Amino acid sequence: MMEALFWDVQAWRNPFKKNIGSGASPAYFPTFGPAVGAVNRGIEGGISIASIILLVGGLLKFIFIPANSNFGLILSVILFILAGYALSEKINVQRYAVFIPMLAFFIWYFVFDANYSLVFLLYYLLVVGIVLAIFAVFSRGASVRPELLGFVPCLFFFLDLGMIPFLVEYLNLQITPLMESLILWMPWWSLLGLLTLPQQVSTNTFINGLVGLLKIFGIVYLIFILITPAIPDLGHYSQEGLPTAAELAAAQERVTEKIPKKENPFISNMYCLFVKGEYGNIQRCVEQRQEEQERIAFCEDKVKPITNQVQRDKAYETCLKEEAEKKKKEALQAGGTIDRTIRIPTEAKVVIRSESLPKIYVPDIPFPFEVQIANPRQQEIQMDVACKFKKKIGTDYVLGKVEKGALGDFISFRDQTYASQFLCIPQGELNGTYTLEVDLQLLNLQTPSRLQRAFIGNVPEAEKKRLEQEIHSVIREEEALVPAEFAGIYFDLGHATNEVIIENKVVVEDGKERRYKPILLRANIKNLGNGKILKIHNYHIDLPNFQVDRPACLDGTIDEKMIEAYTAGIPLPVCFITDYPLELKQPPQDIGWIAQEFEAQLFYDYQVTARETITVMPQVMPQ
Amino acid sequence: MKIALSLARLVTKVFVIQALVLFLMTGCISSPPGPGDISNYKEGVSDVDISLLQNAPPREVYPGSDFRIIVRLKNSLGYDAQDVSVALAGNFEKYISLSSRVQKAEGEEPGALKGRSLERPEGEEAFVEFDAKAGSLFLNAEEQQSPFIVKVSYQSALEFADTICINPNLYATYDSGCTVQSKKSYNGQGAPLVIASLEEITLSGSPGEVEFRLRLKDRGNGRVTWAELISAKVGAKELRCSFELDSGKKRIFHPQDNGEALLICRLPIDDPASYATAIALQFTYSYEASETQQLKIVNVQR
Repeated sequence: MMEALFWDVQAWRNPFKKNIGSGASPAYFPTFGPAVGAVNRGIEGGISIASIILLVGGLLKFIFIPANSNFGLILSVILFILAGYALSEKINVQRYAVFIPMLAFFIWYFVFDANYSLVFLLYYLLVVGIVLAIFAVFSRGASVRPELLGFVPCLFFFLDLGMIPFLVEYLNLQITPLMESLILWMPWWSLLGLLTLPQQVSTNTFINGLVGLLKIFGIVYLIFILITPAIPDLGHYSQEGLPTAAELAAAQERVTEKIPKKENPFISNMYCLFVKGEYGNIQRCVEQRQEEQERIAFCEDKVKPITNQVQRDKAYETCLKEEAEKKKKEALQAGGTIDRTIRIPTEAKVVIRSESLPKIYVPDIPFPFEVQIANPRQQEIQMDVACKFKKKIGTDYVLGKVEKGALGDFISFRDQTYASQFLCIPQGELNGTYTLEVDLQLLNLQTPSRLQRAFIGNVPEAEKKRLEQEIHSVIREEEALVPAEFAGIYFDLGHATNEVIIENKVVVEDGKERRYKPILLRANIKNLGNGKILKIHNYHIDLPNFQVDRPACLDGTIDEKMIEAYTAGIPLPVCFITDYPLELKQPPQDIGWIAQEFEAQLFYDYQVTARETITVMPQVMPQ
Repeated sequence: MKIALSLARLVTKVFVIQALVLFLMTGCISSPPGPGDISNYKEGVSDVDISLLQNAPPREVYPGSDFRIIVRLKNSLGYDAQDVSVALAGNFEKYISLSSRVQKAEGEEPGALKGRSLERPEGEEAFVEFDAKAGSLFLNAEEQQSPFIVKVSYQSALEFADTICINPNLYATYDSGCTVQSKKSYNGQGAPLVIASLEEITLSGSPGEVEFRLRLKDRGNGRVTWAELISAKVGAKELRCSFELDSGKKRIFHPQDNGEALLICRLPIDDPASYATAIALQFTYSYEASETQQLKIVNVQR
């Protein structure tokens, strides 16, 4: 085995004896090429172990070891070294040829902290180049290819640490489904292990067959993972230095946090194919399954802080229902998206704990419930609660009176969080199964939304295309952004739906200037929560110094009948922009365009309702 | 003896190869020319280099905080650049407010940066500073990505010179003069706008004419706003040139989408014999380059 590691040792031991009287011999000078005999012997002896360790170890690391941990980094280094073994075995060359560039990379990255200054690189690369050249010379060029391939483990090392999430963050790329797959589901070392598995792992046919199946499985897995659109074009990249291992791992963790946790696409595909049998509509089935898994993961995270198991299960069920409703409503909506920069939106819920509800009716027996409100913007909110008991069968109901203690009818608060318990006292006898309904009314709510647009002047088409590229690198969101609160205004301003650029192109007809393309303002109010919009006090879209042909599109109220008439969204009046500020019509030539962010405000009252089924029996008095 | 000779051969081989490697490596690595080094700075493709100073701006800023955006410009052209200005484009109304959006570079002369030359092998460098203030985040947002674009525009010159052969005899087999090279390619004249090729076509007629077709290409990272021909001569004779045939157009705006423009020049031939002479053209052009930079405004309480 040792002989296989280096050149033919015998030749070195007896160089002077070898050719005396025998003339020149090809074996005279030690060669640096592959010791073929040794390698051939090696196949039988399980030289593919390195690939198998890489495959299995890489998978275990991917599943169980967090990326941003010291242990994870140590493991990455071990697998990096093993990758060198595996690669050298695969391409059937001496290991040192592969390890030299790996060692050079390792020293540069960890010892010299990936120093990329020109002077340092000059000297370092010169030294490395000379070392590689010496070996290349002695091997008569045979070591060149393995030396170059030695950089492959370096690439996989970067990828495993988190090169793609780093590039996503620093290049501010949109996380496409392909990138999500690569970040979440690609065990890079396992992939390298799979690629370096030899054709014949052992003399045992069964084992070879198993490994072959494993290879096919791996390739199928890759296909399912990568079956999504390609990565979009990269923008300009400016950075101050190469990322360290810690930075890469931290970027991996940050980006992974932002990606909704879905199911592995491979598992979704297998489920749709073999469990649901959706051969004809597999893509739709996979999407639905992914959405379902996303909701499950989201709700599992959300209920984690609840310690009580029963309450946690209930909250989990409620969360699943709410998220499913939101998704349904999202599908009906157009022209807006949830503003993810606002991680803590205004929220309110009524919690009815069934275990606290009485089962035996006595007069004035209280039914407790809790109101929980998150008010991160510290709005001045007025709140009222009401309750009633609706007969399960029929339309009869028993009114309830809410005991608020010393609080008045309407409760006002500005706190960031508000949580309080109330009691619902039935105003009549209860006997049977009822639905306890608690209505929480929130008054004077305010939800702003925003929209970004870019204005250019009257420019030629070629110039417009050039400016478009610039503008799209700055303005990434073409739709209105609304916090995930109870309701909001989704609005769109421009020549066409979701068109970011508004140009001041005019044509002259009959001596009159006419806008080449009209600019339209469209808006609608959408119910984003699970409750009901009770009243819209006012809507206002702020377009400073813009003139419109119908002022009602910018400002107004909505009749309550109209609120009830629309379920998906309440359309606001549409209008044309007849004029807008000169500085937007004629941006400075040096810059070429001006960005503007517009805000809309919705002032409204909202009702959140919670329901709980109860069965109440009258008290049986002892005889 | 044989062994010693073989060893000597091996050692020589190794040394020769090492020397070659070292020679190639040092040859490939460009080092700044020393004072006595006579380099031609008016060759190849060069540009005005744009970069931001480290931490100016910082990668993350807090709402309401003041910071600076400092743009470093270095004129690596083989020519001086005039009217050098830096403009910042982005969503500045809402999230970042700037003291000014456009500023001129201040080199030794206001608004100008000297190019590379013997006196100044590195080219002149200037820093353009913008005072900025981060705005407020929208509602209680945790962060706001606020990318912006740094745009640099300048005017500069381009000089092209070469030796050509004028041969009016289309059919002459034997000529003791020079040989016409119908097409020549060039790798640049020390600017982002380059004369990529020169075609010479002898037109028959009485008198004969030579037509020169010069292909201008934008090989820089930005774009040519306009290019204008200032002078064109063959020897002492003026050439009749235009960007579009027979239109007399000496200025072109925005070379085509592929960044190319064709200049056609003509010269009547008086001399019946072939002769070698110099062709020289001078252009001025306006150039614009831009880079996108990232900036994040983060909530203090994050």
